[in-house]
Amino acid sequence: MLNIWAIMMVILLVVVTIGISLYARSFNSNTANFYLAGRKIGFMTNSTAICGDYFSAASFLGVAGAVYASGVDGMWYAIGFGAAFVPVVLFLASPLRKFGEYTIPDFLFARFGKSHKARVIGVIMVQLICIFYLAPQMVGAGSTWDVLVGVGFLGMTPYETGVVATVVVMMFYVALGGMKGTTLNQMIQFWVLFTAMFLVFALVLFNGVGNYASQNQPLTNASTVTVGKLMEGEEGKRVYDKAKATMSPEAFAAVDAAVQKGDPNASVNVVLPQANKLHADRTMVMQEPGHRYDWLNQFSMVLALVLGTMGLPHIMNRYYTNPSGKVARLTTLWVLAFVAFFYIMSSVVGLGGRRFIPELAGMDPTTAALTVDGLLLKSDQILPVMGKLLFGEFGLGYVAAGAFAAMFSTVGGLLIASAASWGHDIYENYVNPNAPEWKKVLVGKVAVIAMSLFSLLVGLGIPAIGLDKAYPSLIAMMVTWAFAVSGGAFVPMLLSSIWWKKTTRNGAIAGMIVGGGGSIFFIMMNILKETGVFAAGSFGATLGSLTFPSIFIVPLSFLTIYVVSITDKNKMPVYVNNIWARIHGSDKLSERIRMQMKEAEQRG
Amino acid sequence: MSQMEIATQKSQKHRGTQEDASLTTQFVTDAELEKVNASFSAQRRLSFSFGIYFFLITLIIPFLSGTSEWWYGTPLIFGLTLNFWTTLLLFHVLYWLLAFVFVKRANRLEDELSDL
Repeated sequence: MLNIWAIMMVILLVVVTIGISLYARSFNSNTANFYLAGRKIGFMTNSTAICGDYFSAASFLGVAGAVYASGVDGMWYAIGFGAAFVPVVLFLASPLRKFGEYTIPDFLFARFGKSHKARVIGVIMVQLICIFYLAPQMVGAGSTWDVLVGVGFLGMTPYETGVVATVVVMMFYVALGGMKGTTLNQMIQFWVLFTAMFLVFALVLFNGVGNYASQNQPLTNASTVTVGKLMEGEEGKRVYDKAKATMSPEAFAAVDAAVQKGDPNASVNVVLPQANKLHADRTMVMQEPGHRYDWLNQFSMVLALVLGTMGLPHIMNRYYTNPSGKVARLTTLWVLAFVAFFYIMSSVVGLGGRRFIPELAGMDPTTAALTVDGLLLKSDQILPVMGKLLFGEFGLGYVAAGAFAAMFSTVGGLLIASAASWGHDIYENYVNPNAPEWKKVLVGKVAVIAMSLFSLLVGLGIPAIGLDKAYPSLIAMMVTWAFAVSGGAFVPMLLSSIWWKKTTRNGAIAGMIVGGGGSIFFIMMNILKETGVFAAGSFGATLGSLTFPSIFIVPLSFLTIYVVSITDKNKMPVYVNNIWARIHGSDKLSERIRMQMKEAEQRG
Repeated sequence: MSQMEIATQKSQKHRGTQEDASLTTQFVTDAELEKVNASFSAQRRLSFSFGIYFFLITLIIPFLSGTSEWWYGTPLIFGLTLNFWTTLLLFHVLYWLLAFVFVKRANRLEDELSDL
């Protein structure tokens, strides 16, 4: 799928990104500017930058793909991502900004009487979440390069080239541009990905979405199976028989030809009717739920996404860059509007794919090669394919630029959050508290480079350990893991610390360990189950069957915080009133007390 | 007497942390604290009541998806079910409206603290 428009537009995006970073370089004279852009980001800039942070490759390519493959259950995914900013505005946006620190670990340190233990555990959790979230971005970078550019350089495969190119660009632009440059870049990257989505959405609406959903045709999807698997079971009930009944005779001829050759390990592409996991007796159709999730997972998936967003450090750090608590709320309102429109567009594109790909794929040999009997083999390719079918090579190029913009902006946000945690929370506080400003900024930049190189290793290592084969939708799955860890580690802690005065340091620490540690434990169990380490039916496999642990882990973390806090024998310390006024007072009062506490600390 | 001086007079020593005045001094006056607490209670009531609406609205969808055929299996408009239209469109609009009303009310509450 080598496309000159795609390469040109991605190069243009990289050039603009680097240009902005060079322009923003002069703003990074001190750490407040490097990490928080001087706390002077207005609501429109910040809301678009938050969206840029939030819309990763999984959102840009994955949601439309999920709707195309699963219908209503795919849209349920969009609801989880879209609704997530409602609890942010209800519970966190304004209090976090008013508190006025740099990072979540900073919040922990100050909220719990300068607790070093709480801060260090916070740093560990931030790093874990960043790694969990960076990993799918790296896989997305490699896969997107593979699909949209299709060539490797310097002896690397296209996948490796995509990972390396993304890391090099990110390392350069975040280290050079700091938060100011990253914010400006994220704003531009947001508009690139948003307009790319709008282009395809408008073309689908203009040409008509089609009536695949309303006609209640049985939902079918393309997949790859081995000939051995195809012929398993008694005649009439084999996968072979289902495929024969579903596919057109012309398309099925290729399947028959592979069967005739007799190699049981040979792979064949088939189209199969899908099962309904929610109502087993009903035919699975596009407009009914049940393709992806059973009843428990319908609840737990949406809770994982909704709660997980509240704990994502690269999103929450952005709230510290607002000038005031009120602006933080207004910012979230705009974010919600952009997010809602974006996911509505994604869903419409996914639905339109069911009409246009069968109709138009045959006219383009490159696209035809990606399909089986008019259905895409990899649903994540829906957006670039639709861009190409409806707007030619330019459409594909624009979508390619949008996909890279989505990755750049999310990785940029994660790198700056991770660097802030190492550089500010650890170096400035424990390693060299008296370091001059230039040295603190330098350490932040070194942290960006170190984390970038680590991401490179993660990106290259995932296919090497075979994780991509264990999970068919690896990017979406890994993003959900990141949401589960952030939801477990930070959400109960943040909500309790902000809204329950009696939360103690030990309660918060215990909650983070139970929530973050518990989520990671269940994710690891799931990986061991899916990679075949645990035998089917074993205790380990049972533990590993929980795809979205948040539904149990988040309440457990809340309970832990409550029990530990009420059994803590420490009386409520004096400073809690100061903290309370900082979180829940006016912006003016919050700032005054923050300064008074700082002055008292310096006098002491 | 300035607010800072009043606050400093309320300095209280706490056993074991005498060395750090930022932890042992109350910088907020009782009057200010009373106002903050009143605002906090109102804000908490507002946030949590909207939070309950939010989670009820969100979780009712999977509940109806599992239990009510009129919701997930009966075509309503243009041959599409209520479940379909809600997840495609209505939910996003509803969430934004919920947040909009909340922000208006929360900002009004915060304005009552403007003299602090």
